Amino acid sequence: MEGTILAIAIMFPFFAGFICLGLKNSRARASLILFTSIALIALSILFLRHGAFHYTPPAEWDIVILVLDYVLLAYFLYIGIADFISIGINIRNVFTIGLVLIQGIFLALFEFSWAPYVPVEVEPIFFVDQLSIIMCLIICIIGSLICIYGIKYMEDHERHLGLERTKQPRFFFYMIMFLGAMNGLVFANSLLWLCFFWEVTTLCCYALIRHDETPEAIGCGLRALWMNLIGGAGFVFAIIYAFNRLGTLSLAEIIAAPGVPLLLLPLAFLCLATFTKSAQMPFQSWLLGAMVAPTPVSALLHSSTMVNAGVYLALRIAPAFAGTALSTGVALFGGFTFMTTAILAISQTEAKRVLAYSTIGNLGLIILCAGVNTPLAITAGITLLVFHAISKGLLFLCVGIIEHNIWSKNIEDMQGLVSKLPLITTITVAGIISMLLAPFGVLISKWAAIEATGALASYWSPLILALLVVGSAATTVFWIKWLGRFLSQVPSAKRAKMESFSPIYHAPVLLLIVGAIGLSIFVAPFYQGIICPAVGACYTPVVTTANWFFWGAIGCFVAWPIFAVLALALVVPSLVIRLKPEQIRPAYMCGENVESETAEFRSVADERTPLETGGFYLARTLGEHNLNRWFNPTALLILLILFALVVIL
Amino acid sequence: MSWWQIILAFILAIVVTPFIGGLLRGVDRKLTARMQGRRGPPIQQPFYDVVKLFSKQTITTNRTQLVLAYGYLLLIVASLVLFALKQDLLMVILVLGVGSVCLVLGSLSVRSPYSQFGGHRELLQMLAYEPILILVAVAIYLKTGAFFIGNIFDQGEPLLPSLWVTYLALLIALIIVMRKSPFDISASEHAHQEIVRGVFTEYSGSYLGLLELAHWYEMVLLLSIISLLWVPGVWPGILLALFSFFVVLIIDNITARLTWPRMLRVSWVGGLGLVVLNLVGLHFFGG
Repeated sequence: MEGTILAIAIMFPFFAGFICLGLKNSRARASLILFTSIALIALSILFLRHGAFHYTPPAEWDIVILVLDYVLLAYFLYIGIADFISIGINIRNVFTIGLVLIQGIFLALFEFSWAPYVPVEVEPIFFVDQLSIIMCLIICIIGSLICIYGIKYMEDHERHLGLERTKQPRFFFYMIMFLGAMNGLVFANSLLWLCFFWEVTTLCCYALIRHDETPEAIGCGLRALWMNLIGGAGFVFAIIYAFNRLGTLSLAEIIAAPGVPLLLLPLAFLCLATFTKSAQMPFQSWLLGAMVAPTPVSALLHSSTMVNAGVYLALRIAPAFAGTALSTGVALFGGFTFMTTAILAISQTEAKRVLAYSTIGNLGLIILCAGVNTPLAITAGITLLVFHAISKGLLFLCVGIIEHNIWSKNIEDMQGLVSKLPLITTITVAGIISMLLAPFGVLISKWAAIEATGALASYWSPLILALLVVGSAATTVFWIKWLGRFLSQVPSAKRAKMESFSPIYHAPVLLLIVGAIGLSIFVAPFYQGIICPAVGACYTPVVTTANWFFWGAIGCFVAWPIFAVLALALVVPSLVIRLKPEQIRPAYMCGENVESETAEFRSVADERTPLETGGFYLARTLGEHNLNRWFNPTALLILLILFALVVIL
Repeated sequence: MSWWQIILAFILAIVVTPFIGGLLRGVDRKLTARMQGRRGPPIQQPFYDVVKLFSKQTITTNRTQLVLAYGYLLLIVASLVLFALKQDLLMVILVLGVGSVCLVLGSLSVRSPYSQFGGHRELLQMLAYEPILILVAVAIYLKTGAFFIGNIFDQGEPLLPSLWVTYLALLIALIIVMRKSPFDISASEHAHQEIVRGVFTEYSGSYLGLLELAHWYEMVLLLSIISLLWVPGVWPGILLALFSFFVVLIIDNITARLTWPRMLRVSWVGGLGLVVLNLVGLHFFGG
């Protein structure tokens, strides 16, 4: 039974992906995707009901993985060389080739020469616990919803591009395979297997980013590839050092091992892998570049796969470095990314880039929580992982729908959208609110993170806190600015007409928003049933839920009473207030309004001049050009200091 | 807390607060007038104003704006109730933030240049003061061992001697929240200036009354947070708050409005810097 569900969770998406690759008929493909998605959702719930277990597949599989790992590396090498041949020497292919060679050579040296036997055996290979089950739920439920949404999106997308031959089979091959690779990644206990699935996600990510095959897409794909290969190389070094110092490649044993200082270096290498995977500063550019991909890809990368693998690993190995300098360094690094990305997001005009910066920032916050490393902080980290995945997946899907209605991703073009596309705009607004306002889930984690960092007995805690609070305030600014664009309406007595409802577009979005709001309201039972066992695996849970409040050790978050107030303050008035047409007046324009329902005023010689408004972007002060000059080197410096500290200690 | 204490806290927060807030606004106008050599209106003038606003007919540009006015008021009241129930101070500040967000969104929901300017500037004001408030909560935590306001009362000795640096930062936050010079950038006090009335431009009648009422609650909440720095004993805290209020009025009358980059610089380097310094001090010397 246990082996079976594991095999299905990991291998079924691979198979389904391969079948997709051969299916030219779009209806058949859609049915297959729908079937796979529903099967995966059911399977993830089965995992939740089954609970923790471990499992080791027959030894032949070790050889299979070993071979496949080198095949994968050879393919990466081929990509690098092919790019070198087509455009000549360039950072992107030099790094790709160099990093693949480093990784391949060291891995081969380790496996065939340094290790006492080939292949290195690890017991158990798979380790399923509450944390990986939470990840599996995120991957299977949110990932599947995104795949379903992708069916219609890709159809519209290709019609808009006017493609002669559809590229959807390959697209869905990678999309679905991604889910299988992620399942393998979160369940793997052997570092070698983990490393393999880690590289498969890199491959899927690369292939999906370059899907449209424009020069920009190809460049961004390669950047994603080589930046993630840095993490891959880090992973290989972590494997070598861990085996060298501990004689095992079992993640569970490494985490539980006493004599921490010996292990700091491999752990630091694993942290490097998580930083690149989660696109932390200064590696943020690959995730920003990934925005050229079709929106379902962005949604998948940002909410349920890829970047989550990084923070998952950070939370997983956090207990191993608790109380060390590495822990403080990780917290500082995460805090720095959280603050800088929030500030950078203010100057962005493109919706997807704002979402990307917000993702990187939230992942930074999770990494900060892993670094603070107290039970409360880890609770905050895991809670944020879940709530962020739901809300961010939702927001990307919303932006995709908006994009296919107005054919623009620019925030300025979304001005007053609430009166043109009321349904999807309302959902998007609710989604953004779930990302930034108390008492929604994301804010519960932020609250817990602040209290945990405040309670951190380290001289660095004031600095980390300062990063945290400034980042949190800047987050409010960029979200609200965007919300303001949606809501900015021209006074009019006409009621907005609902746009047409498309089940494949709107059903996933509605499910996600209901999930985000529902889990926030019922955060107490959700915590008790899902989060608490995951925290309890390595820490003593401190959060209790008397009265359905969220009681941290040193404070209390009252969620549902504030939801009641929100309902009273926003929902009731919006149902009750009715306006007569004569109560609606144009906006104040110093008395120079044109008597019509358009936004115009009289300027020179009573000429009718359209009124133009827009958001603040403060690009001169807070633009990327200005700030990245400081942010990137500083981030790199923090990273170097982190490694230097680890080596010295 | 027994049930009559809870009821008392609700009454105090919801019913008594507007009277205190209105009175303070009256004193504000009187003192400001005197500082400028005018006679000034009677102390009860703000109440007359609000009562009159409520008697006016409703004219608006859209429904969203009206809904968000309720949001602003009710969430600030909620945060004050949490305060009166001696709940988590950080939670109080977060809920206050939700209220302020409603105000900003209300002003951004109209396509009017003045209101949009006001809304964006109000956002920058939040960017300036919210970090300070959150760190103040942490500073208080470091002295009392919990984020609950109740714990400050159990502490037994005033916090001000070890948190006086934090107090200075709170003063900056108070000026911004009260929308006083030099930080009155989102809603200039006088409607003849370049942004008219900023965030309030598109509100009129009873809804403007709601906003004014909400502002009273907000002001009292912030003064209450300041008064926490000197408990136990009711009067020292209140006197400290009133003194801070007076200081803000003086600063208001002797300074001119700053631009937003300057405001951020003052509040981050000055305000935030001060609290961080205080936190570092608490970590190294334990207060």
